[in-house]
Amino acid sequence: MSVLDKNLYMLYTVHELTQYVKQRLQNDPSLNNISVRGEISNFVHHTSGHMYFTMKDEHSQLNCVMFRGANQKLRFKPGNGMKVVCGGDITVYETRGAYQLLVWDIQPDGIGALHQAFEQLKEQLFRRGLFDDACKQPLPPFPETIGIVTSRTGAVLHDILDVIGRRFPGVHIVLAPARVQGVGAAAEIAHAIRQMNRLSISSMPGIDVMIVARGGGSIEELWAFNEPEVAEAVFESQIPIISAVGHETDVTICDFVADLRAPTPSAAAEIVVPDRRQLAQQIAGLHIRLAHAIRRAVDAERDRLAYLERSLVHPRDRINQHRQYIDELFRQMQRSVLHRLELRRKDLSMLGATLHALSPLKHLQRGYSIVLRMPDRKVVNTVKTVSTGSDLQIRVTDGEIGCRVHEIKEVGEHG
Amino acid sequence: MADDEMNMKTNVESGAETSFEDALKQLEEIVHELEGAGLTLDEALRKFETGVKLSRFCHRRLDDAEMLIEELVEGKGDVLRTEQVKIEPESLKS
Repeated sequence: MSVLDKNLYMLYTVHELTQYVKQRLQNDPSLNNISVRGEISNFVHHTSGHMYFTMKDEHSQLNCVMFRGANQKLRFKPGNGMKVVCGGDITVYETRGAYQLLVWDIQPDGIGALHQAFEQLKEQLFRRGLFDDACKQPLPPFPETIGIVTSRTGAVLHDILDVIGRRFPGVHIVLAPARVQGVGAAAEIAHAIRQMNRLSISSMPGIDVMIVARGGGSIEELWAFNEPEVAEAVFESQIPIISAVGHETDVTICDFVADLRAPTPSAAAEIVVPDRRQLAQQIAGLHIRLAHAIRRAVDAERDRLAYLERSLVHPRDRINQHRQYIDELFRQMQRSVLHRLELRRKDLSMLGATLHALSPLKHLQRGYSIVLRMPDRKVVNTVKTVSTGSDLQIRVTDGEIGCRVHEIKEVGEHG
Repeated sequence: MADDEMNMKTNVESGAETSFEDALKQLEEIVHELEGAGLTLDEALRKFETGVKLSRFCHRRLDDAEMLIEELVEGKGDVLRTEQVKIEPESLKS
Protein backbone atom coordinates (compact mmCIF):
# COMPACT_ATOMS: atom_id res chain seq x y z
CA MET A 1 0.00 0.00 0.00
CA SER A 2 1.52 3.25 -1.11
CA VAL A 3 0.41 6.84 -0.68
CA LEU A 4 0.95 7.14 -4.40
CA ASP A 5 -1.76 4.61 -5.16
CA LYS A 6 -4.26 6.70 -7.01
CA ASN A 7 -7.05 4.29 -6.26
CA LEU A 8 -6.68 4.73 -2.58
CA TYR A 9 -5.73 8.43 -2.14
CA MET A 10 -6.36 11.74 -3.91
CA LEU A 11 -3.11 13.35 -4.81
CA TYR A 12 -3.07 17.18 -4.70
CA THR A 13 -0.51 19.81 -5.04
CA VAL A 14 -0.46 22.17 -2.01
CA HIS A 15 -1.96 24.86 -4.09
CA GLU A 16 -4.74 22.64 -5.38
CA LEU A 17 -5.64 21.56 -1.88
CA THR A 18 -5.58 25.10 -0.58
CA GLN A 19 -7.80 26.20 -3.42
CA TYR A 20 -10.20 23.38 -2.65
CA VAL A 21 -10.36 24.20 1.06
CA LYS A 22 -10.80 27.85 0.23
CA GLN A 23 -13.72 27.12 -2.02
CA ARG A 24 -15.36 24.83 0.52
CA LEU A 25 -15.06 27.39 3.23
CA GLN A 26 -16.22 30.27 1.11
CA ASN A 27 -19.23 28.40 -0.18
CA ASP A 28 -20.35 27.32 3.28
CA PRO A 29 -23.23 29.57 4.34
CA SER A 30 -22.44 28.87 8.00
CA LEU A 31 -19.12 30.62 7.53
CA ASN A 32 -20.32 33.62 5.62
CA ASN A 33 -21.89 36.76 6.99
CA ILE A 34 -21.23 35.67 10.53
CA SER A 35 -20.59 37.40 13.83
CA VAL A 36 -17.80 36.24 16.08
CA ARG A 37 -17.34 37.27 19.69
CA GLY A 38 -13.91 37.48 21.26
CA GLU A 39 -11.10 39.63 22.57
CA ILE A 40 -8.62 41.44 20.33
CA SER A 41 -4.90 40.72 20.60
CA ASN A 42 -1.82 41.23 18.41
CA PHE A 43 -3.52 44.26 16.95
CA VAL A 44 -1.59 45.95 14.14
CA HIS A 45 -2.79 48.90 12.13
CA HIS A 46 -0.47 48.59 9.16
CA THR A 47 0.84 51.61 7.24
CA SER A 48 -1.14 50.33 4.27
CA GLY A 49 -4.26 51.16 6.30
CA HIS A 50 -5.30 47.55 6.79
CA MET A 51 -5.79 46.11 10.26
CA TYR A 52 -4.47 42.73 11.33
CA PHE A 53 -5.30 41.14 14.63
CA THR A 54 -6.19 37.97 16.41
CA MET A 55 -9.48 37.26 18.12
CA LYS A 56 -9.23 34.90 21.03
CA ASP A 57 -11.11 33.36 23.89
CA GLU A 58 -9.99 30.89 26.58
CA HIS A 59 -9.64 28.05 24.11
CA SER A 60 -8.94 29.30 20.63
CA GLN A 61 -7.58 31.97 18.35
CA LEU A 62 -8.76 33.32 15.03
CA ASN A 63 -6.74 35.39 12.60
CA CYS A 64 -8.56 38.47 11.39
CA VAL A 65 -7.99 41.08 8.74
CA MET A 66 -9.94 44.26 8.21
CA PHE A 67 -9.08 46.18 5.08
CA ARG A 68 -8.76 49.92 4.92
CA GLY A 69 -12.05 50.51 3.10
CA ALA A 70 -13.98 48.79 5.88
CA ASN A 71 -12.06 50.06 8.90
CA GLN A 72 -12.34 53.71 7.84
CA LYS A 73 -16.04 53.51 8.68
CA LEU A 74 -15.32 52.47 12.26
CA ARG A 75 -16.46 55.01 14.85
CA PHE A 76 -13.94 53.85 17.45
CA LYS A 77 -10.40 52.54 17.63
CA PRO A 78 -10.07 48.80 18.23
CA GLY A 79 -7.22 47.79 20.49
CA ASN A 80 -5.68 44.90 22.34
CA GLY A 81 -7.80 43.49 25.13
CA MET A 82 -10.99 44.99 23.77
CA LYS A 83 -13.98 42.64 23.73
CA VAL A 84 -15.69 42.87 20.40
CA VAL A 85 -18.11 41.24 18.04
CA CYS A 86 -16.73 41.08 14.51
CA GLY A 87 -18.92 40.68 11.49
CA GLY A 88 -17.35 39.09 8.41
CA ASP A 89 -16.68 36.06 6.26
CA ILE A 90 -14.24 33.17 6.67
CA THR A 91 -11.65 33.14 3.90
CA VAL A 92 -8.33 31.48 3.32
CA TYR A 93 -5.06 33.31 2.95
CA GLU A 94 -3.46 31.03 0.37
CA THR A 95 0.15 32.11 0.79
CA ARG A 96 0.14 30.86 4.38
CA GLY A 97 -2.60 28.31 3.95
CA ALA A 98 -4.34 29.89 6.90
CA TYR A 99 -8.00 30.53 7.26
CA GLN A 100 -8.99 33.92 8.63
CA LEU A 101 -11.95 36.14 9.29
CA LEU A 102 -12.33 38.89 6.75
CA VAL A 103 -13.89 41.58 8.95
CA TRP A 104 -16.23 44.25 7.62
CA ASP A 105 -17.56 45.59 10.92
CA ILE A 106 -16.55 45.60 14.55
CA GLN A 107 -18.93 46.29 17.40
CA PRO A 108 -17.65 46.82 20.91
CA ASP A 109 -18.83 44.07 23.24
CA GLY A 110 -18.95 44.10 26.99
CA ILE A 111 -19.08 47.04 29.34
CA GLY A 112 -15.42 48.05 29.16
CA ALA A 113 -15.38 48.16 25.41
CA LEU A 114 -18.71 49.89 25.18
CA HIS A 115 -17.63 52.58 27.61
CA GLN A 116 -14.48 53.13 25.65
CA ALA A 117 -16.38 53.30 22.38
CA PHE A 118 -18.91 55.62 24.01
CA GLU A 119 -16.22 58.03 25.16
CA GLN A 120 -14.53 58.00 21.76
CA LEU A 121 -17.78 58.63 19.94
CA LYS A 122 -18.80 61.34 22.37
CA GLU A 123 -15.48 63.10 21.83
CA GLN A 124 -15.80 62.75 18.06
CA LEU A 125 -19.37 64.10 17.90
CA PHE A 126 -18.52 66.86 20.34
CA ARG A 127 -15.77 68.03 18.03
CA ARG A 128 -18.22 67.95 15.13
CA GLY A 129 -20.41 70.34 17.09
CA LEU A 130 -23.39 68.02 17.55
CA PHE A 131 -23.69 68.93 21.22
CA ASP A 132 -23.43 72.71 20.76
CA ASP A 133 -25.79 74.65 22.97
CA ALA A 134 -26.24 77.09 20.11
CA CYS A 135 -27.95 74.31 18.13
CA LYS A 136 -30.43 73.51 20.89
CA GLN A 137 -33.99 74.39 20.05
CA PRO A 138 -36.34 75.74 22.72
CA LEU A 139 -39.27 73.52 23.64
CA PRO A 140 -42.75 74.92 22.96
CA PRO A 141 -44.52 75.77 26.22
CA PHE A 142 -47.89 74.43 25.08
CA PRO A 143 -47.45 71.79 22.38
CA GLU A 144 -50.56 70.73 20.52
CA THR A 145 -49.03 67.83 18.62
CA ILE A 146 -46.41 65.61 20.22
CA GLY A 147 -44.38 62.99 18.37
CA ILE A 148 -43.18 59.90 20.20
CA VAL A 149 -40.45 57.62 18.89
CA THR A 150 -40.26 54.44 20.92
CA SER A 151 -41.20 50.79 20.90
CA ARG A 152 -44.81 50.04 20.03
CA THR A 153 -44.78 47.43 22.78
CA GLY A 154 -43.64 47.78 26.33
CA ALA A 155 -44.41 50.05 29.23
CA VAL A 156 -42.63 53.18 28.02
CA LEU A 157 -45.29 54.30 25.56
CA HIS A 158 -48.03 53.67 28.13
CA ASP A 159 -46.11 55.52 30.84
CA ILE A 160 -45.68 58.56 28.61
CA LEU A 161 -49.31 58.60 27.47
CA ASP A 162 -50.45 58.10 31.03
CA VAL A 163 -48.55 61.11 32.32
CA ILE A 164 -49.63 63.30 29.41
CA GLY A 165 -53.22 62.18 29.95
CA ARG A 166 -53.00 63.16 33.60
CA ARG A 167 -51.41 66.56 33.00
CA PHE A 168 -52.79 67.84 29.72
CA PRO A 169 -54.98 65.35 27.87
CA GLY A 170 -56.13 67.63 25.05
CA VAL A 171 -53.19 66.97 22.77
CA HIS A 172 -52.58 65.13 19.53
CA ILE A 173 -50.06 62.27 19.73
CA VAL A 174 -48.23 60.87 16.73
CA LEU A 175 -46.37 57.66 17.37
CA ALA A 176 -43.54 56.53 15.11
CA PRO A 177 -42.75 53.03 16.31
CA ALA A 178 -39.17 51.78 16.25
CA ARG A 179 -37.34 48.85 17.73
CA VAL A 180 -35.18 50.23 20.49
CA GLN A 181 -32.61 47.44 20.87
CA GLY A 182 -30.86 44.83 18.83
CA VAL A 183 -29.56 44.73 15.29
CA GLY A 184 -31.02 47.49 13.13
CA ALA A 185 -32.56 49.37 16.05
CA ALA A 186 -30.41 52.45 15.50
CA ALA A 187 -31.44 52.59 11.86
CA GLU A 188 -35.11 52.31 12.80
CA ILE A 189 -34.87 55.03 15.41
CA ALA A 190 -33.06 57.37 13.01
CA HIS A 191 -35.61 56.58 10.30
CA ALA A 192 -38.54 57.26 12.64
CA ILE A 193 -37.07 60.63 13.62
CA ARG A 194 -36.61 61.59 9.98
CA GLN A 195 -40.08 60.41 8.99
CA MET A 196 -41.56 62.42 11.85
CA ASN A 197 -39.84 65.50 10.44
CA ARG A 198 -41.15 64.74 6.95
CA LEU A 199 -44.67 64.33 8.29
CA SER A 200 -44.38 67.58 10.22
CA ILE A 201 -43.44 69.50 7.09
CA SER A 202 -46.21 67.99 4.98
CA SER A 203 -49.06 68.09 7.47
CA MET A 204 -50.92 70.90 9.14
CA PRO A 205 -50.49 71.56 11.91
CA GLY A 206 -46.96 70.23 12.26
CA ILE A 207 -45.43 68.34 15.14
CA ASP A 208 -44.41 70.75 17.88
CA VAL A 209 -42.06 68.54 19.86
CA MET A 210 -40.82 64.94 19.87
CA ILE A 211 -39.92 62.48 22.61
CA VAL A 212 -37.36 59.79 21.78
CA ALA A 213 -37.64 57.23 24.53
CA ARG A 214 -36.65 53.83 25.82
CA GLY A 215 -36.96 52.16 29.17
CA GLY A 216 -34.05 51.19 31.38
CA GLY A 217 -31.57 48.51 30.42
CA SER A 218 -27.94 47.51 30.27
CA ILE A 219 -25.48 49.56 28.29
CA GLU A 220 -25.65 46.93 25.56
CA GLU A 221 -29.43 47.19 25.44
CA LEU A 222 -29.29 50.98 25.26
CA TRP A 223 -26.53 50.92 22.68
CA ALA A 224 -28.70 51.87 19.71
CA PHE A 225 -29.03 55.35 21.25
CA ASN A 226 -25.25 55.71 21.14
CA GLU A 227 -25.01 55.03 17.43
CA PRO A 228 -23.88 57.91 15.22
CA GLU A 229 -26.82 57.54 12.88
CA VAL A 230 -29.25 58.22 15.72
CA ALA A 231 -27.12 61.16 16.85
CA GLU A 232 -27.17 62.58 13.33
CA ALA A 233 -30.92 62.19 12.91
CA VAL A 234 -31.52 63.89 16.26
CA PHE A 235 -29.13 66.68 15.32
CA GLU A 236 -30.78 67.26 11.96
CA SER A 237 -34.32 67.25 13.36
CA GLN A 238 -36.24 70.49 12.86
CA ILE A 239 -38.59 69.37 15.60
CA PRO A 240 -37.23 69.93 19.11
CA ILE A 241 -36.38 66.57 20.71
CA ILE A 242 -36.51 65.42 24.30
CA SER A 243 -34.31 62.40 24.81
CA ALA A 244 -35.50 60.01 27.51
CA VAL A 245 -33.44 56.85 27.40
CA GLY A 246 -33.18 54.46 30.32
CA HIS A 247 -33.12 55.46 33.95
CA GLU A 248 -31.75 58.61 35.53
CA THR A 249 -28.20 57.30 35.67
CA ASP A 250 -28.10 56.14 32.05
CA VAL A 251 -26.58 58.66 29.70
CA THR A 252 -26.51 58.14 25.96
CA ILE A 253 -25.12 60.03 23.00
CA CYS A 254 -28.73 60.71 22.02
CA ASP A 255 -29.13 62.61 25.33
CA PHE A 256 -26.22 64.88 24.46
CA VAL A 257 -27.46 65.71 20.98
CA ALA A 258 -31.11 66.17 21.92
CA ASP A 259 -32.47 69.62 22.76
CA LEU A 260 -33.27 68.40 26.25
CA ARG A 261 -32.46 65.28 28.24
CA ALA A 262 -35.14 63.91 30.51
CA PRO A 263 -34.04 61.48 33.23
CA THR A 264 -36.82 59.00 32.39
CA PRO A 265 -39.62 58.64 29.81
CA SER A 266 -42.22 59.62 32.43
CA ALA A 267 -40.15 62.72 33.25
CA ALA A 268 -40.11 63.59 29.54
CA ALA A 269 -43.90 63.50 29.57
CA GLU A 270 -43.91 65.76 32.64
CA ILE A 271 -41.65 68.20 30.84
CA VAL A 272 -43.39 68.16 27.49
CA VAL A 273 -46.84 69.30 28.64
CA PRO A 274 -47.79 71.77 31.36
CA ASP A 275 -50.01 70.74 34.25
CA ARG A 276 -53.59 71.53 33.36
CA ARG A 277 -54.60 72.25 36.97
CA GLN A 278 -51.76 74.70 37.50
CA LEU A 279 -52.65 76.43 34.26
CA ALA A 280 -56.30 76.57 35.23
CA GLN A 281 -55.25 78.28 38.46
CA GLN A 282 -53.05 80.68 36.55
CA ILE A 283 -55.90 81.56 34.21
CA ALA A 284 -58.33 81.93 37.10
CA GLY A 285 -55.80 84.32 38.67
CA LEU A 286 -55.64 86.34 35.46
CA HIS A 287 -59.42 86.40 35.33
CA ILE A 288 -59.57 87.85 38.86
CA ARG A 289 -56.97 90.47 38.02
CA LEU A 290 -58.96 91.33 34.92
CA ALA A 291 -62.11 91.86 37.01
CA HIS A 292 -60.22 93.93 39.59
CA ALA A 293 -58.62 96.07 36.94
CA ILE A 294 -61.89 96.84 35.19
CA ARG A 295 -63.57 97.62 38.52
CA ARG A 296 -60.76 100.02 39.37
CA ALA A 297 -61.02 101.64 35.95
CA VAL A 298 -64.77 102.08 36.31
CA ASP A 299 -64.43 103.39 39.88
CA ALA A 300 -61.80 105.88 38.79
CA GLU A 301 -64.12 107.16 36.05
CA ARG A 302 -66.98 107.34 38.52
CA ASP A 303 -64.85 109.43 40.90
CA ARG A 304 -63.89 111.74 38.09
CA LEU A 305 -67.52 112.13 37.13
CA ALA A 306 -68.52 112.92 40.72
CA TYR A 307 -65.81 115.55 40.89
CA LEU A 308 -66.99 117.13 37.67
CA GLU A 309 -70.57 117.10 38.91
CA ARG A 310 -69.53 118.98 42.03
CA SER A 311 -67.83 121.60 39.87
CA LEU A 312 -70.97 122.10 37.84
CA VAL A 313 -72.81 124.98 39.80
CA HIS A 314 -76.13 126.80 39.10
CA PRO A 315 -75.85 130.52 38.02
CA ARG A 316 -77.96 131.56 41.00
CA ASP A 317 -75.27 130.20 43.22
CA ARG A 318 -72.76 132.36 41.52
CA ILE A 319 -74.97 135.46 41.95
CA ASN A 320 -75.29 134.69 45.64
CA GLN A 321 -71.57 134.26 45.79
CA HIS A 322 -71.08 137.69 44.28
CA ARG A 323 -73.65 139.19 46.54
CA GLN A 324 -71.93 137.87 49.52
CA TYR A 325 -68.66 139.14 48.24
CA ILE A 326 -70.04 142.61 47.79
CA ASP A 327 -71.33 142.57 51.35
CA GLU A 328 -67.97 141.53 52.45
CA LEU A 329 -66.33 144.39 50.58
CA PHE A 330 -68.83 146.83 52.03
CA ARG A 331 -68.07 145.70 55.54
CA GLN A 332 -64.40 146.10 54.89
CA MET A 333 -64.94 149.60 53.54
CA GLN A 334 -67.03 150.53 56.55
CA ARG A 335 -64.43 149.32 58.92
CA SER A 336 -61.78 151.27 57.10
CA VAL A 337 -63.75 154.58 57.14
CA LEU A 338 -64.57 154.33 60.84
CA HIS A 339 -61.01 153.68 61.60
CA ARG A 340 -59.92 156.78 59.77
CA LEU A 341 -62.56 158.93 61.55
CA GLU A 342 -61.32 157.71 64.86
CA LEU A 343 -57.80 158.74 63.94
CA ARG A 344 -58.98 162.24 62.97
CA ARG A 345 -60.85 162.56 66.21
CA LYS A 346 -57.72 161.86 68.11
CA ASP A 347 -55.83 164.45 66.07
CA LEU A 348 -58.50 167.01 66.79
CA SER A 349 -58.41 166.58 70.56
CA MET A 350 -54.67 166.95 70.50
CA LEU A 351 -55.00 170.18 68.55
CA GLY A 352 -57.63 171.42 71.08
CA ALA A 353 -55.16 170.92 73.90
CA THR A 354 -52.50 172.83 72.05
CA LEU A 355 -54.91 175.60 71.25
CA HIS A 356 -55.98 175.85 74.84
CA ALA A 357 -52.36 176.27 75.91
CA LEU A 358 -52.01 179.22 73.59
CA SER A 359 -55.28 181.03 74.64
CA PRO A 360 -54.98 184.81 75.73
CA LEU A 361 -57.29 184.14 78.67
CA LYS A 362 -54.26 182.56 80.37
CA HIS A 363 -52.61 186.02 80.35
CA LEU A 364 -55.72 187.62 81.88
CA GLN A 365 -55.41 185.30 84.85
CA ARG A 366 -51.93 186.55 85.48
CA GLY A 367 -53.28 190.16 85.76
CA TYR A 368 -53.04 191.37 82.21
CA SER A 369 -56.16 192.70 80.56
CA ILE A 370 -57.29 193.51 77.12
CA VAL A 371 -58.70 196.89 76.24
CA LEU A 372 -61.24 197.05 73.47
CA ARG A 373 -62.47 200.20 71.68
CA MET A 374 -66.22 200.40 71.51
CA PRO A 375 -68.28 199.80 69.71
CA ASP A 376 -66.12 198.04 67.20
CA ARG A 377 -64.20 196.05 69.88
CA LYS A 378 -60.87 196.71 68.25
CA VAL A 379 -57.98 195.81 70.54
CA VAL A 380 -56.29 198.95 71.81
CA ASN A 381 -52.58 198.56 71.60
CA THR A 382 -51.66 202.20 70.78
CA VAL A 383 -52.90 205.66 71.90
CA LYS A 384 -53.70 206.41 68.33
CA THR A 385 -56.62 204.00 68.38
CA VAL A 386 -58.57 206.14 70.87
CA SER A 387 -59.50 209.77 71.49
CA THR A 388 -60.76 211.62 74.60
CA GLY A 389 -64.34 210.61 75.34
CA SER A 390 -64.09 207.22 73.56
CA ASP A 391 -65.87 204.35 75.26
CA LEU A 392 -63.71 201.34 76.15
CA GLN A 393 -64.34 197.95 77.52
CA ILE A 394 -61.67 196.23 79.65
CA ARG A 395 -61.64 192.49 79.48
CA VAL A 396 -60.56 190.68 82.64
CA THR A 397 -60.80 187.06 83.58
CA ASP A 398 -64.31 187.14 84.91
CA GLY A 399 -65.95 190.02 82.96
CA GLU A 400 -65.67 193.44 81.39
CA ILE A 401 -65.44 196.88 82.84
CA GLY A 402 -66.97 199.85 80.92
CA CYS A 403 -64.74 202.98 80.91
CA ARG A 404 -64.41 206.41 79.17
CA VAL A 405 -61.14 208.06 78.05
CA HIS A 406 -60.53 211.38 79.76
CA GLU A 407 -56.81 211.92 79.07
CA ILE A 408 -54.36 210.71 76.40
CA LYS A 409 -50.66 210.84 77.01
CA GLU A 410 -48.30 209.75 74.40
CA VAL A 411 -44.96 208.40 75.53
CA GLY A 412 -41.86 207.41 73.61
CA GLU A 413 -41.28 203.95 72.69
CA HIS A 414 -40.33 201.80 75.66
CA GLY A 415 -40.44 204.92 77.64
CA MET B 1 -53.06 96.56 17.56
CA ALA B 2 -56.71 97.09 16.87
CA ASP B 3 -56.47 94.76 13.89
CA ASP B 4 -54.76 92.08 15.94
CA GLU B 5 -57.42 92.39 18.51
CA MET B 6 -60.10 91.99 15.90
CA ASN B 7 -58.44 88.93 14.43
CA MET B 8 -57.98 87.40 17.80
CA LYS B 9 -61.54 88.18 18.69
CA THR B 10 -62.90 86.51 15.63
CA ASN B 11 -60.61 83.58 16.23
CA VAL B 12 -61.72 83.23 19.78
CA GLU B 13 -65.31 83.39 18.71
CA SER B 14 -64.89 80.89 15.91
CA GLY B 15 -62.92 78.75 18.32
CA ALA B 16 -60.55 76.86 16.13
CA GLU B 17 -57.56 78.88 14.99
CA THR B 18 -56.22 80.55 18.12
CA SER B 19 -53.67 78.41 19.86
CA PHE B 20 -53.80 78.07 23.60
CA GLU B 21 -50.37 79.68 23.82
CA ASP B 22 -51.45 82.77 21.87
CA ALA B 23 -54.65 83.09 23.84
CA LEU B 24 -52.84 82.87 27.17
CA LYS B 25 -50.24 85.41 26.02
CA GLN B 26 -52.93 87.82 24.88
CA LEU B 27 -54.81 87.39 28.12
CA GLU B 28 -51.66 88.25 30.08
CA GLU B 29 -51.06 91.32 27.91
CA ILE B 30 -54.60 92.55 28.38
CA VAL B 31 -54.36 92.15 32.15
CA HIS B 32 -51.12 94.16 32.14
CA GLU B 33 -52.64 96.87 30.00
CA LEU B 34 -55.70 97.10 32.18
CA GLU B 35 -53.61 97.20 35.33
CA GLY B 36 -51.51 100.02 33.94
CA ALA B 37 -52.87 103.48 33.32
CA GLY B 38 -53.51 105.07 29.96
CA LEU B 39 -56.62 103.39 28.62
CA THR B 40 -59.86 105.23 28.09
CA LEU B 41 -62.86 103.65 29.74
CA ASP B 42 -64.22 102.52 26.39
CA GLU B 43 -60.91 100.88 25.50
CA ALA B 44 -60.71 99.30 28.93
CA LEU B 45 -64.20 97.87 28.64
CA ARG B 46 -63.49 96.51 25.18
CA LYS B 47 -60.29 94.88 26.36
CA PHE B 48 -62.04 93.50 29.39
CA GLU B 49 -64.62 91.86 27.19
CA THR B 50 -61.90 90.33 25.03
CA GLY B 51 -60.03 89.20 28.13
CA VAL B 52 -63.07 87.43 29.49
CA LYS B 53 -63.51 85.64 26.18
CA LEU B 54 -59.84 84.61 26.14
CA SER B 55 -60.05 83.35 29.68
CA ARG B 56 -63.10 81.26 28.81
CA PHE B 57 -61.39 79.98 25.69
CA CYS B 58 -58.33 78.90 27.71
CA HIS B 59 -60.48 77.13 30.26
CA ARG B 60 -62.40 75.35 27.54
CA ARG B 61 -59.15 74.28 25.95
CA LEU B 62 -57.92 72.89 29.28
CA ASP B 63 -61.15 71.04 29.85
CA ASP B 64 -60.75 69.33 26.51
CA ALA B 65 -59.90 65.81 27.69
CA GLU B 66 -59.88 64.07 24.33
CA MET B 67 -56.46 62.69 23.47
CA LEU B 68 -56.02 61.83 19.81
CA ILE B 69 -53.43 59.10 19.36
CA GLU B 70 -52.23 58.31 15.86
CA GLU B 71 -49.49 56.22 14.37
CA LEU B 72 -47.25 57.25 11.53
CA VAL B 73 -47.72 54.90 8.60
CA GLU B 74 -45.59 54.71 5.48
CA GLY B 75 -47.80 54.15 2.48
CA LYS B 76 -46.91 53.29 -1.08
CA GLY B 77 -44.55 55.63 -2.89
CA ASP B 78 -43.05 56.95 0.32
CA VAL B 79 -46.28 58.70 1.20
CA LEU B 80 -46.67 59.38 4.90
CA ARG B 81 -50.00 59.33 6.67
CA THR B 82 -51.30 58.78 10.15
CA GLU B 83 -53.81 56.27 11.41
CA GLN B 84 -55.67 56.45 14.65
CA VAL B 85 -54.66 53.76 17.11
CA LYS B 86 -56.56 52.38 20.04
CA ILE B 87 -54.49 53.03 23.11
CA GLU B 88 -56.19 54.31 26.18
CA PRO B 89 -53.87 55.77 28.79
CA GLU B 90 -54.63 54.68 32.36
CA SER B 91 -55.15 58.25 33.42
CA LEU B 92 -57.98 58.72 30.91
CA LYS B 93 -59.87 55.54 31.75
CA SER B 94 -63.01 56.37 33.58
